[in-house]
Amino acid sequence: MPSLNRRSFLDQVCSQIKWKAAHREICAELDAHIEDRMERLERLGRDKEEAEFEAVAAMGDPIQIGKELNRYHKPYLSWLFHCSWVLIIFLIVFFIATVLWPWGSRLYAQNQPVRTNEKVIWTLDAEEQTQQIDNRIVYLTGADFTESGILYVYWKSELLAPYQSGWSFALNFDVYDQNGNNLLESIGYQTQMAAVGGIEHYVMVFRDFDAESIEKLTFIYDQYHRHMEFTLDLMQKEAAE
Amino acid sequence: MKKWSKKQKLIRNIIIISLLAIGIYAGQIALSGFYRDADTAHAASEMTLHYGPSETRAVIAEVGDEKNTRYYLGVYDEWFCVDTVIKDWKGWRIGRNFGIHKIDYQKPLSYSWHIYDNEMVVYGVASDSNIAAVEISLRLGDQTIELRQEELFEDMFFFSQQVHADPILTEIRGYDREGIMICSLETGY
Repeated sequence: MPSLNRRSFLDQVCSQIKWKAAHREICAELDAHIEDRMERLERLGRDKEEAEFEAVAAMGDPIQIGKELNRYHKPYLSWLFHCSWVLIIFLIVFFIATVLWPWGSRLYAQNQPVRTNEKVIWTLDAEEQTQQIDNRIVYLTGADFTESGILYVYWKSELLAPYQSGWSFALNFDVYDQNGNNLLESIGYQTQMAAVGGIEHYVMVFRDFDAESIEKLTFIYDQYHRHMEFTLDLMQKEAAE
Repeated sequence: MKKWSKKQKLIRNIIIISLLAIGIYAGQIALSGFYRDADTAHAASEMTLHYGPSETRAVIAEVGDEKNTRYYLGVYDEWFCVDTVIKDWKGWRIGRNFGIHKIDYQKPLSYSWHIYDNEMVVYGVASDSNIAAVEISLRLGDQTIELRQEELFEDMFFFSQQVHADPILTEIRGYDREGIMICSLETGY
């Protein structure tokens, strides 16, 4: 067999390997072997050229090596391997975008308070009065009274099975003051809803609210044989900072 | 450390892909409210409305353009309701609910109707036990069509019609077992 230099040896090995994408990796590995052997030979006193030819010759028949490596580097196996990485990257991105991100943002948003931006005169913490109705938990969280005479009452609601969608809970409450007057029949209220990270926050807005004479509010929900009741003691109010 | 062969690495990657796929599927189901069967989705749907569980009078399966919607006709105490659940690759999810209506026992028929996309549904309950069949008249532009349900689902009836013009329910009639009309309600349209 004629003497081969390093480059020709590697070319001949690779000429037998059908999977071209593997050529670089194989060449690097074989080249490293040749390099090691050359260094040893040079330490024994060979010059660089002699060491290269001897090191290459010691590697064996490049055609035989190439055939062996070709058996190992099956094209379909390598394709599958490469495709599997592409798929893994795609699935990781998809998992983050569709599962981790919504889940994380919900956890983050769970305790973010929803409050009015208006100037608040007094505020009230309802100490999270909680009631459960079917698979939904309803929280009365507090209230703010603003200088424009509006009372905001804050609610929160979430499903027991977390992360499950469902129909929105509606604030279909009758609201009574301490004298039994139904505020729905007098000033009425509007509702606003904001879904923060999957938790539903509701705000009841009472305009022209008579904060001087109303001391207590009772909220009664009674539909389809479901009943829940919350009270808000306005005497517990605290001046806003 | 032993170097892995390409085949071993491929097996490792396949395991990673399987785990990710299971994670995505489970995450999607948990996050988007999917249920393994239609009945569970229907029960959850009613529960989120704080209604029911209703007594199911009929399950009308796989209607609509994509044949993926299931209708549940039910009565709960003094109310009636039509609820839908929808199937896709992840399982069953809560669909449309056409509202909950009080049964008017003073009238022989209580009914409601809705149009969603190109589908019109008319449904209701017969309070009069002599009513065996129900017929409705729909006005579609200049045209009037009549639909008839010969056999009630116990006491409930349901019509679903693909429509392209603006349809209006004009009349609803109840018939006894002999086919004699025993009530007729004009809807006022």
